[in-house]
Parts: sequence; structure tokens; C-alpha cells
Amino acid sequence: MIKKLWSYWENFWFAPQNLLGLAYMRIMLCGTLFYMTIMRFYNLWFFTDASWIPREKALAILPELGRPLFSWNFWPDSMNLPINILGAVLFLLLTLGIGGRAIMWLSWVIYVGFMHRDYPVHFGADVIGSLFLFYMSFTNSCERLSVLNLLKKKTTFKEADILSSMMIRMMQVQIMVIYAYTGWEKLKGASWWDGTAMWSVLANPQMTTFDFTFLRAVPWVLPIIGFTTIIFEVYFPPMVIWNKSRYIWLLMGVSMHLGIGLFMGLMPFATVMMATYFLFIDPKYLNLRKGMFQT
Amino acid sequence: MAKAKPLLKILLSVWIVYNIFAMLVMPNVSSYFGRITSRFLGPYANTVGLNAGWNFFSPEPAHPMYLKILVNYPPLEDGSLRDAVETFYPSPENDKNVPSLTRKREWALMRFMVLDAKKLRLLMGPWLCKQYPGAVSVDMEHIVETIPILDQAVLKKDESVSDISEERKYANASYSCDGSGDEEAL
Repeated sequence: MIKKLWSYWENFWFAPQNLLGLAYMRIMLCGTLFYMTIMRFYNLWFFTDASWIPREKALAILPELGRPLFSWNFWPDSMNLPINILGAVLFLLLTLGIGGRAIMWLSWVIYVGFMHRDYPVHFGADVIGSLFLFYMSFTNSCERLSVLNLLKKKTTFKEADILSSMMIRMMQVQIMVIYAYTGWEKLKGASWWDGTAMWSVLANPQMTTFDFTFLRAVPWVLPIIGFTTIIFEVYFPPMVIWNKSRYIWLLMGVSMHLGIGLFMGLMPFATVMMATYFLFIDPKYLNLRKGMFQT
Repeated sequence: MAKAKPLLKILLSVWIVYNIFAMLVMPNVSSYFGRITSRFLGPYANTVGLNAGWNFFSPEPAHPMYLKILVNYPPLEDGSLRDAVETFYPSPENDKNVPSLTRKREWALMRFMVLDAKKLRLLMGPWLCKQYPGAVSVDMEHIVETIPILDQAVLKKDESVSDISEERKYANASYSCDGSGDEEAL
């Protein structure tokens, strides 16, 4: 019995996996973080004593229960510019498939280091993006879809090693937990229960890129969007585990995130979330043009 | 090597269980499991980023809000009073010049600051004093433009939403630019 259970466990977590989905995820995630790192050049002063948070208070401003053991911000503020340039170069290389675990781990340290320096200016895309980057830094994510494969005309590829397989699974579990939690948190809110929360979101000019107040002419649309969102999030885990509903649920997710990206100006958040979807797609659907990028 | 793999798998399995437990418990750290396990999970979870609450737009979506700031100056040499400067954070005046991502970061910062008056006093106040040299104090007020509930907005279809929004004032704080009160802890 124990042997059988261990065999299931071993097979689930450690069996070799095709790395194509992980490679697509790497492109989307690192591409997004590259963009966000470039945008940081506009406000590097956020991470200095000229901002709201003096260096010595960088971690002290966080509640004790949420405070990291130490700060990953190991460089002085005066080094922000070269460190950010390095971060941008690393993310560009990783997007192109150049690099390995060490480079990805270093890019994670830099990204989280900036977050630890001025935590309050960060939001969902930073938090989720850096968390998945952490998991990904243990994988051989540059094995597929790399420009180096094109140059070397590589035609045979390795499958995932133990660590990569395990982290692919862990990222699948992680995104399921995130969705379930976001759904459960919404269920605590009275306006989500009565179906009017989407009105508060879409009528808030600070959250949207267009004026959606015209929707009060067709108010029944709002509860439909609201309840669909909750159902999508709460039931994400079982629906992506079950083969028959997986792609419908992923398509719903794509529609929701594209909506959030386009109409709420949160495209980096949308692409970070959607990047994880590649881990649920059968590699045969991803291998669209065999030969291109030597997939 | 052949013997090393099973051992590696056992060690990795221990981490898998630990990480999944942290993943499930830390977003709800105030729960019973959170309280009793946070000293084993917290340092790790907080360092790698597993401590987030995943409460996007929840439990209730936020209403439009901003920080209203009044910058006070000392009387002029001739004894006349210098007008206080009224401003906002984030400043709507430079909306077009600020990249969208930077503006999102400013909103995030403002929402963090207005969580309690102490943050306004200890972090926002000193920063504002630096932005307005010569100021003696700054008064800060958290303003929320409450969006009318859907039923009301439907009933008053002909009025603009901003007209039927209600302004509410929350946390307010004052900071003296001479630094008195700096000894207060966060």
C-alpha cells in the first residue's frame, strides 16, 4: 500500500515532463518582468531615501507577521541604476531563452530586492510574477524555445529533470491555490454576494481605462460578470484538473484576464497570470510549428 | 548516484509538503493554523513571497480615493499670512505625464499609507515637507468618493455618477516639518 502510494507520489511530482509549456511560460513571464523592469527606470527614485521609505525602515514598515527574515536588497541605493540595467539584461536574455538556473535566480534576487526596498509601491503583478520566478529559477526552462537552439540547430531536447518536474507541478498547484483564495476572499464581501461588486469596479475611474458607467443602462450584465468571476475562481482547481473542462476554464481565464488587462490597464498582471496556463496545456497543442525555434 | 536519487526525492518531498502547507496557510495567517505555525512558516514564506493575501478586489472593491494635502507655511516677514497650498496625492495634474504603471504604483502606495494615520505621519509627512521647502506643517486627509450602489445609479440614470457619489473623509494626520514627533515608532 505504502509502496503504491509512493509510486503515485513519485510519478506525480518527479516523472519527466515535456518542457515546452514551461518554455512558453518563461517567455511570457520574463517578457512581462522585462517590461516592468524597463518601466522602473522612470521611477528609480522610489527606491532611494528621496522617497517615502528611508532605507532603515524598508522592512520595519511591514507588519511583523509579514516581514521577511532578511532583505534581498543587498546593494546600496546609489547602485540602483546599474542593478536595474543588469536586471533588464537578465530578463531579456531569459525571454530569449539564454541563461539557466543561476541567471534566473539572480534575476529573482534583483526583482525581490527592489520589492523589499519599497514594498508599498508594488502590486499583484510584482508579487505573483516574483513568486513564479522563484519557482522557475529551479527549472531548466531555457531548454526549449531558445534562440541558442536556432543558432546551434538543435533538434533533440532533454525532458525535465527531477527538480524541473517538481517545480512545474508546484507552479500548477500554486496558481490553483491563488485562484481559489481570490474566489473565497470575494465570497466574504457583501457586494460580491449580491452581484453588484462589478459595478463598484467598473464605475471607478481609478480602476478602468474607459468609462463603463453606461452599463447601468443594462444593469443585469454586472451580476452575471460578477458571479461568473467568482465561479471561475473558486472552481478553478477542480476544473483544470478535470481534462474535459480544462480548456474551457483556461479560455474563460484568458477572456477574464484580457478584459482586466485592456479595460483596467493591468496588462502585466494579466500576462503574469496567463503565463501559468501554458503549464496546463498538452504539449502537442503547443508544438504548432515544428522547426520554428526548434520546438 | 543511483542511491542518491531516492534520498533526493525524499528530501524534496519534505519540501513539497512544507511549501504546500505554507502556500495554504500563509494567505490566511490570522487563522488558527496560521497562528500556531507562523513561526515555522513565516520566515520562509515572507522571504520568498508566499505570504500574500490574494485578495484582489475583495472582500469589497475599493472606491476612488486620494490623499488631500494642505501644506502650511509660516507668516511672511511683514506679518501677513502666506496661503496654504492645497494639493493631492497622487497628483491629478500630471496625469498625462505619468506612465500608467507608475500611476498604478502611486495608487498602491497611497492605499498603503492611508491604512493608518501613523504611516501618514511617519512616512508621508516627512516626504511632503521635503517636497515643499519652507513649509511648517502638512495636514493630510484620506478622501473616499463613494460610488453609489447599483440600484441607486440605475434609478438616477440621468445624473452623472460623480454627481451622486458621496465624499467621505477617513484617516487624517498632521506632521510638523521641524521633525517633532519623529521619535514615534512605526
